Amino acid sequence: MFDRLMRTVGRQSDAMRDRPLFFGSHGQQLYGVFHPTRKPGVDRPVAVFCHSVGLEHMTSSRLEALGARAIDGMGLPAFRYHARGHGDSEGDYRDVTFHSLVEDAIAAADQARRLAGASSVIWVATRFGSLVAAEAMRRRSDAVALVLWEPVHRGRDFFRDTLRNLLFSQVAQNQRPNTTVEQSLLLLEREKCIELFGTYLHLTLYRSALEGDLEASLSAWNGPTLLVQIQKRQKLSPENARLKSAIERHDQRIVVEVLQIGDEPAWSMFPHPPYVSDDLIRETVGWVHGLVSS
Amino acid sequence: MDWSQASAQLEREHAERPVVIPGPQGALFGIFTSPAPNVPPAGKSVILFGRNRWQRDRMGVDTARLLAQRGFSCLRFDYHGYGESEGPNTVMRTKKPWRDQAVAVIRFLRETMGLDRFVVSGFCFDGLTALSAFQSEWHSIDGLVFIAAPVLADTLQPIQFRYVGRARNFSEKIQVFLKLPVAQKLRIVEQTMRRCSERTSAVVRPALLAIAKGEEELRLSPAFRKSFAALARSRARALFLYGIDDNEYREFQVAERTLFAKLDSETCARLEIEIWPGQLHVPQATGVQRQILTRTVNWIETLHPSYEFLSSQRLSASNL
Repeated sequence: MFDRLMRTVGRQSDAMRDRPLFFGSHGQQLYGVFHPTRKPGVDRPVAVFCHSVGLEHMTSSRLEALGARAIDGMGLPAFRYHARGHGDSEGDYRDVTFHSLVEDAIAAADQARRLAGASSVIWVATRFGSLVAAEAMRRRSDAVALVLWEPVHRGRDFFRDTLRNLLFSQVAQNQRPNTTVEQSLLLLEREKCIELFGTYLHLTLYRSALEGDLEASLSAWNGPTLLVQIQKRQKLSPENARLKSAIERHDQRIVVEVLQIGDEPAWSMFPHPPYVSDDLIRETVGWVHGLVSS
Repeated sequence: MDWSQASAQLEREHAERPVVIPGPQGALFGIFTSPAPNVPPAGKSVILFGRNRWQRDRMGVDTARLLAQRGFSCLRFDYHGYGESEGPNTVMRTKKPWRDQAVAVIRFLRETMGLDRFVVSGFCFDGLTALSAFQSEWHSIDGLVFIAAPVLADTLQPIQFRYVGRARNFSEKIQVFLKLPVAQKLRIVEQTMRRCSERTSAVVRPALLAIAKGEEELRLSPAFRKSFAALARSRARALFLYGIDDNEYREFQVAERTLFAKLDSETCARLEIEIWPGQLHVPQATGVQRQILTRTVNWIETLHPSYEFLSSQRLSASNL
């Protein structure tokens, strides 16, 4: 079934049924796409995709679009959105805070439930979106499952890694980096914003998300979870292993499924053609399908 | 230019609507921004080509909203295989711009929205795609902004990093190769030789032809030559923008020496070439990209039928 599905996804599928739209979140107009399933069932959960920030939003957008279509093809409704200051939504990226991202995720979940007539949500979160989705889930009680695609575990680490990648990319282009990560962070404090891979890192987002902690936000979560590690390494990373055991500790009956994808993209650089992983989509859809069927 | 969210720009955000366009390989997803009602309409729709439609610090989004404030309707969309659009993930080749998608978008705007005059704009490969639309739609396009695009068949671009990366793993690959069964080894050798010969002929043949015929023009990619000819026979104005230190500018100089040199004075006057100091082909340099888009917006505005009136009005408003 999934092979057949994958053949249609991203090719001549019936994406004409996708419903792109604008919806409101705290006075701002956000862009979203509703994927109404062709096989509507009785009160099925809706999958809500929570994207990463800045340039990573662009890198993962293709993956999320294909993922949402695959879930829709499998028989569940899905919803994608652009948070304020991102993509086609209203707002300025310089005003985006961790709080506003969470507000938008909550508004998107409400909108998705309304459109799908669903009473529960399956969160599918990519990278930094994991921190956002986890915080949104903590403030609601309608999540029935969680999918984490290469989650960011701490806001602080995310920004440091991004800056480190910037320095590495300069070396790769035969440039000698004229700064260190520490100096870049000092510059960010002073200038309020620094240039980063064709976009900016703003102090407002940095400060507001610095203390973001995935494990802490998921401290009360005890639902089915699919943890996808998209890294070249063979073993589960220490952070992912820690998160898995932390969630499983909450409830002995819960097993966090782990999927490892070795084809790791450069999240902070937009590749041409865009990054796509058929394995990731197939396995995610399979997991969600198994969950809903059972 | 103030790129922050002014109130007029916010109004244009609210005037946006998503569109789904039937493309050659499935649906293309885009956003249409309608022109501000309080300025005289330009009667032209600007198509902003990009990968994907909000790339580079959402400059395409800001550009669409700014142009809409100045009376132009705008469309930005994702190519097939990018963002939300359907279709396969194809590697882009500057020698083969995605003309069929450009034309599909123009026809969609014409057939579903009744728009009949267009302006096309793009950076690098997107510029080539924008230019390629002239091949079929030269009669309906009034303007082109063509930024830092490579135009030669045998491109002068430096070796790309991915090739360096592949070469770095060469010894590892050889070891793997040696462990393969003989039949598989032969198949790989055959494939590699075929690929090498295809690539060599694609690069060397046009250069040899050019040398043999003594025509430098043949070094330009056939797609560029064909599209340029269509642009020349249209009545459209065009802005070609390069940085003096761009490798792409070295390629474009071949076009200047050959194609541009053959144009009559009337056509020459329509096609402006602007060379900026430094490099423009630096997608990661946000400041430079903002300057390019500011120039793009200001240049497109000159295509407005009431441009003189609007600019004098703006000038008097700023003097107040």
